[in-house]
Amino acid sequence: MTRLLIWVQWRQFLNGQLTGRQVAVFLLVLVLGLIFLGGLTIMAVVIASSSSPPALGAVVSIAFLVAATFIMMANLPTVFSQLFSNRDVELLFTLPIPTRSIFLARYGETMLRSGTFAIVLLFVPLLAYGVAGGVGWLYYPLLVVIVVSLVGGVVALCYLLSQLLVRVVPPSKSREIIAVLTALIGMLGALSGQIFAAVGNSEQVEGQLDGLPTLPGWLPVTWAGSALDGAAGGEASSLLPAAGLLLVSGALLAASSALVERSFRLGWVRMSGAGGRSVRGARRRSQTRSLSSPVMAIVLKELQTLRRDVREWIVIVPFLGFFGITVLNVGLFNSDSDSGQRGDTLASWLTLQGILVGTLSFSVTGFASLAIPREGLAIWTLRTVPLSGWQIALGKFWVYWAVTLGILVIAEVALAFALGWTIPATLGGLLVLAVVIGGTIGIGLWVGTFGAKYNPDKPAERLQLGASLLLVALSMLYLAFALGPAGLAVALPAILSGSSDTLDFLARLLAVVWLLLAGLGVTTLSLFLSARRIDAGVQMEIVEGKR
Amino acid sequence: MTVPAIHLQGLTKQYAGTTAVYPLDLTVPRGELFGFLGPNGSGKTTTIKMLTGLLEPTAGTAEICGINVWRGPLAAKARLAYVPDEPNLFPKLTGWEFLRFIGSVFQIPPDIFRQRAEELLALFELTQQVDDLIETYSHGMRQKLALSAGLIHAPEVIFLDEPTVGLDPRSARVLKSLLRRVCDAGTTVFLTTHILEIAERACDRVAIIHRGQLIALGTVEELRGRSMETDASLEDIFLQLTGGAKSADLIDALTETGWGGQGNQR
Repeated sequence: MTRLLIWVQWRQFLNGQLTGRQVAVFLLVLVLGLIFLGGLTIMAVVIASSSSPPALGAVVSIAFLVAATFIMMANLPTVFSQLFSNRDVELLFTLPIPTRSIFLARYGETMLRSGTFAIVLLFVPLLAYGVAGGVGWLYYPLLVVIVVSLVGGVVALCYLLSQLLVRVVPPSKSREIIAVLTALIGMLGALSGQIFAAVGNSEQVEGQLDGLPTLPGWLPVTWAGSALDGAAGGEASSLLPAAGLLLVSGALLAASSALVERSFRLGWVRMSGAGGRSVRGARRRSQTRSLSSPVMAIVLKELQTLRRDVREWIVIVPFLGFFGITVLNVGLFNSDSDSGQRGDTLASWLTLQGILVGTLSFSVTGFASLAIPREGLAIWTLRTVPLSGWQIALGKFWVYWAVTLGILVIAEVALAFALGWTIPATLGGLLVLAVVIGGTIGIGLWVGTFGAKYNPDKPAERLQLGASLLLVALSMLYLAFALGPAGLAVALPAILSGSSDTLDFLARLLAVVWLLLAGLGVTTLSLFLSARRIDAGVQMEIVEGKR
Repeated sequence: MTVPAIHLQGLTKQYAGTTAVYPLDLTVPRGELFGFLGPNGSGKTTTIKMLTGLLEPTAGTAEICGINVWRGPLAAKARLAYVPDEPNLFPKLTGWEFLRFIGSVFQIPPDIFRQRAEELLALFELTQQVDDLIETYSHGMRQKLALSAGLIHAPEVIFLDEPTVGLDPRSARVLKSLLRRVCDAGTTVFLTTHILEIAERACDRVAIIHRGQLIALGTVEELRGRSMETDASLEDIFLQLTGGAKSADLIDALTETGWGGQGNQR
């Protein structure tokens, strides 16, 4: 029965995916994947061939942790949808098929779809390492066992988490919480080095590459690392950590499978709306007597959506991560900076304004790019009401700009307190950054008007691949265009060796004027282009959902 | 001479060599309840989308109250309302917030907005759910909310694509009565439906479109007269014109070979 279900999934994949444009995207991803795999393999060969190779265990455990993080990020939302929201679940539950078979077919599908990809990405470079380094024979069979059980275990963990979450999280919030959880897993993965260093694992292992943190011994990825390290040296004791990893993965799959009878059907019932009613709006209608202007109507609509869906804020998470690290590293924990040295130094001010605008730009441009795609299937509403493109663009722009300004104010004030900036310096930074950020929001909004995508199975994917790449390129170009000449103007007196107070002041004034002109200019241009696209009719790529 | 509510001239839509709607000429006077019928994939929704500014025609013109929809979109949209067959509304707004959004966009005076909103919500029995998020609504409730939003700004022309799909019998009856009432007050209703009984009873005139071409236009009486069968229902005429009558023979043949009734018993 399980095999039959996997065959059905396979046929659906062949019939539904391998057509036209998706083949091109698939090939592009394949080529990029092969390039990435090639890069990893070359790196592995270089490391293995070096005269003093670093400790394999430490490197491998970090690589496995990164891989596990990516597998979880890629699969958790999909697994949740596959289990509880796919259109075929209703049909399958009405057929005489054991629930466990449906579960195993789903698990098999995930392993085939993304598990295989992860296995190849991990296996090939490590195989190349073994061949180039001339390791013992035990390394090779153990490599297969470890890689497969690691990937299988992480996928099983996705299924276990999904089944646990669906029991405790309200159905109306479950998708949002899954999305936030996925983002948090990504952030924790990215920051794991700092976290483990902070909790006392910062000691360096002999032969370890500089800058690599040591992971704690209780993590299964550490066992995997030490097993491969031992196997490379032909130690039979390496079988023990490998067996431990296999046991943990098996336990995760068993636990996940044991929950199926209760959680699978229960989750589907909850997600298909049997109990999903009565999520009330915050305000009673009797309290809202007045109507607003058309632009304000867009602003209010957008704010309500942002307020009620935590997923909308995920793109800001990387900024918060970077900003947190910056404050921790540069500000609060900077033991060298006492109050006397904290003065309003131009260098620290300029550096942090640059970091702030750089990190925030990439987050908010992504944030704003979702403004149009966010409408999804409800886009027809905006297209059939008498709203001009300019009104819609302006309404959406104000929302994202105001939200970003709020974040900027908090960030600037936190840095001002940490580094003892003066009030004029803080306000000046705020003014310039608020204008510069306007340009990035405008660019995001504009890209969203022609690169919108709606995928009911993956609500977070709202931009087409090409549009996402263009967004990154345009944001970088804009920052270079705005910050480059301004930086040059500030550095000019020093370059000309003619530094004086007047010259410095004029140079800074010139930089500020340029930043304001660039920011306002790009904001206006991008809003104009967005309005034109909206007037012409936003075309959204609608992906046929499985739900 | 009064400007017609809807006036189409040579309205055409082509997709990559395939013609979805052949040049369509049609005039609907003000205050008429007009039924636009046709089998699945015949071009009904495509036509409505071209009339509401959602889909640009390949050729021809579409005018709403004398205003070209594609040359003066805002002025035309200020006079029309559209309720699609699949009412996808903003999921994170409550029903009341959605109505407020529509009221704000159409700049309805607050007192009138409140009065109409209360009436429509009571009529469609949505008063108790109006503070719930739209994402928690059933298909029928979203349909009723979309209908309320379409009617709240008292448009001159309303386009309804399969408006009764998902509605309970009571709401469907309310809708039929309401549509008659708004048409009598001068509003024009352009609706598509597969329930031919509704079209026969409620519509002043009907048009039948088949494979993108208008094949019949007139009152039910006129169509009956042309079909030469004085006791024919609209369903009979529709099936005759769109080739559906052939399937009746096929059903008979299948029943005789044991697919239906007793023949299916094992």
